[in-house]
Amino acid sequence: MSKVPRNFRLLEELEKGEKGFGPESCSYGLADSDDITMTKWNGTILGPPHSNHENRIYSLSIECGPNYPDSPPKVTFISKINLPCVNPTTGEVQTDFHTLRGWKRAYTMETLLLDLRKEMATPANKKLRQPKEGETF
Amino acid sequence: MGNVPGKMDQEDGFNDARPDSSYNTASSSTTVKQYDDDIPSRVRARRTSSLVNSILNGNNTRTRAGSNLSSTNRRKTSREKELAKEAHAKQLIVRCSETVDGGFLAPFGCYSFEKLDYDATVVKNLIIKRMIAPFYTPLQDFDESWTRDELIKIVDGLPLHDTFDENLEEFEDVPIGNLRKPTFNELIDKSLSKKEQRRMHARIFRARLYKKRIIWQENESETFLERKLDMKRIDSKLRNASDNRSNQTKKNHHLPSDDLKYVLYKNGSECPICFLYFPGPFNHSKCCQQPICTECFVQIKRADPHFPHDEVDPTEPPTNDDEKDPNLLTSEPANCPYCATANFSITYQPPTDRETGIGGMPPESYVYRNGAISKPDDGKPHVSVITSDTIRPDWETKLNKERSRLMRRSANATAIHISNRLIDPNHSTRRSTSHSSTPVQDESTSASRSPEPTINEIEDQMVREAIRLSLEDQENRRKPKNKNTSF
Amino acid sequence: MASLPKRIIKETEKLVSDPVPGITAEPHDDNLRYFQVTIEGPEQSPYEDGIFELELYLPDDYPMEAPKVRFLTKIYHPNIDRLGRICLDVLKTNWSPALQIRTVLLSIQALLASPNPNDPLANDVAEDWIKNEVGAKAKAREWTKLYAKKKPE
Repeated sequence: MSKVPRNFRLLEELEKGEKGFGPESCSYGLADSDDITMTKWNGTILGPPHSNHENRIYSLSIECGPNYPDSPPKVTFISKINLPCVNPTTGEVQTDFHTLRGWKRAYTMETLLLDLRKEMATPANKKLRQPKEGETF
Repeated sequence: MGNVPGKMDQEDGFNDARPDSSYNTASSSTTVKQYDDDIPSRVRARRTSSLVNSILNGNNTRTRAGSNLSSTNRRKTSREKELAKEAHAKQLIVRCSETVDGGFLAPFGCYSFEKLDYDATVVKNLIIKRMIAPFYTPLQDFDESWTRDELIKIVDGLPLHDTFDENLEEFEDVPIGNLRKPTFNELIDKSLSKKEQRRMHARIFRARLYKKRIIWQENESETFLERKLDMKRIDSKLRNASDNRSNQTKKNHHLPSDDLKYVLYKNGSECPICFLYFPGPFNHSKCCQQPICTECFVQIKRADPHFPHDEVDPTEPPTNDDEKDPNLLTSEPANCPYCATANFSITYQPPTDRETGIGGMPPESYVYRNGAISKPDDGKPHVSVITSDTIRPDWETKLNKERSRLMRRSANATAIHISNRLIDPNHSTRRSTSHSSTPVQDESTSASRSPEPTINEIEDQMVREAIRLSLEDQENRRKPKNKNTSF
Repeated sequence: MASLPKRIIKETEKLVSDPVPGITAEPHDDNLRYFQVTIEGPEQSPYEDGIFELELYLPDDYPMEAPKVRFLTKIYHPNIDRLGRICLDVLKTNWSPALQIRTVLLSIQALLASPNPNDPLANDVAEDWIKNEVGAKAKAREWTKLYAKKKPE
């Protein structure tokens, strides 16, 4: 099986995101629709139900570097969140977060957002005290 | 081989494909394999009994309560679908004993496994009836200057199937468990939601099937190699002493004679689509008489159901696919790849001088006779016309399925929209305040545009639609029952 | 299936041995399905004297599936959007497995010579093209000078 090059892979992801084929609980899109390198992306995660995140919408920024998808993207929460895998001052998702640490070429931005959402819903994390809704890093 | 129901059974089919180590001693292997070919009833009995077992096993995994009839029904159909997929994958194995005029009944493997979605039973039938060319093993190159001996040596080295990509990125992370066991529930993470469990089940099933198919084909390829070696041994024995009994053994190998190998590949040509070199005669497009190999032909199909692509006025806002009438979904028959004539079809004129394999003489006894046609001419050679719909008879079912899926989705969207309005009459998009990439439910669904019907009218409409869809569903489920008729 | 199909090998060889005038296509060393492409702007078009860089990828199902092609050089054209994506029938519904890399690149060159604003990908450009063709073409020429300049030899 051949390897889809970075740019065509990102175009695929963009199309999937634009057409809304993905799950309802998260979304992503290009931050700058003029950027031919397709580096900066916006993402959102709808907080999982039965947790302190319920009904919240979290904004994130995702940066897909030149080695994406061989290397994972850099992900930063814009909306303030209290989660062990998120740097409490910068909002950056720590590189030891399991999806980033064990990154595989087959993973997409959607994989990452869904895994972050799952992380919010784990028994250890779902009742964590959260900052006021609407605050940003 | 007929499409016996026992073939559907996954567990046994897998064991069947594993060579039993006790069979592998050189002396007994041929006799056992032959026995297998000649007396399928024994195999059939064994397969049928374990089909019963696997159905029983399948039952064990279901909820016994039986209160939820519809969910039990659905489980059954998804299990049936899986069995059908396995049966299909088995049909795609290139078998060295199933040959027609020097070619095979299954493709060599130029295209990926999941793209082999044609009806394998139909295609096998067409090949046996000499209505399309068989699947020949391609040569990467051909050189006019090769001598007869060189060509035969090259053909002898050809595998039954192309090499497989064992480690697909897609299945990198997917556990497959013990392939001998028909179920794999233990591999599914029970902490996931029901929907995710189903998704995981589907992925594991696909990964397992992919792996199984490789093993099935590799086992067949092993048999093929063994037979080749055997044939060589017999040939050298024959050269030493003319022995009638070994000649008898040779008869059931289904391997081509040297004459057949030479005749096949000496007069081949390149397929203009895959650029590989195949024996002739080729299939030809009916419209412009261009050649096409069978492996490429079975890839050509109707476009997936889609909305008509119109030229639009850029000064008007584009319409969303969600707003379109599902009944407008279309799917045109494939065009000719060469001249774009609509309704692509091919014709095939079978060779009359080398009818071998199924419906002909044993391939190992073929002798080349210069100029002479071995078969008495029974008038006009028959030429049939095969379209790409012929080999995918389910295209209409697929189109209708897609239509009802869209209808259901738009009915759901309407329901959500209405329930939102019931809660909050001033309802507008709840999440419209966040930035553009938020999962915004498109507000411009059909209901919001048409003149406002009353709630009662809408409810009535929805109930009617739901009843109609469920009837249609049932109808569709009943229809494909008779598709497994054997040939 | 596992290795590079014969067809891709033969097409690549021919692109090198018998190149199309005004078009180059070279596979990347580490991915033989991924090509670096240049197309010269057609004469007497607003893209004249420009050299446009593109990327082309042959998906797994090529030739049953069309190649994927994208402009890397910014271009003002009604059928090419801001990300360089191209709206061209042979890349989508009218793809045929009998077409090749070279025919696709020739079609793209022809699209530069005759834009089709009635089947647009870049809506704003198409609108401009219909309402003010002279102005749109001037802008296309300007962008060609700005972004698609020939490299000094």
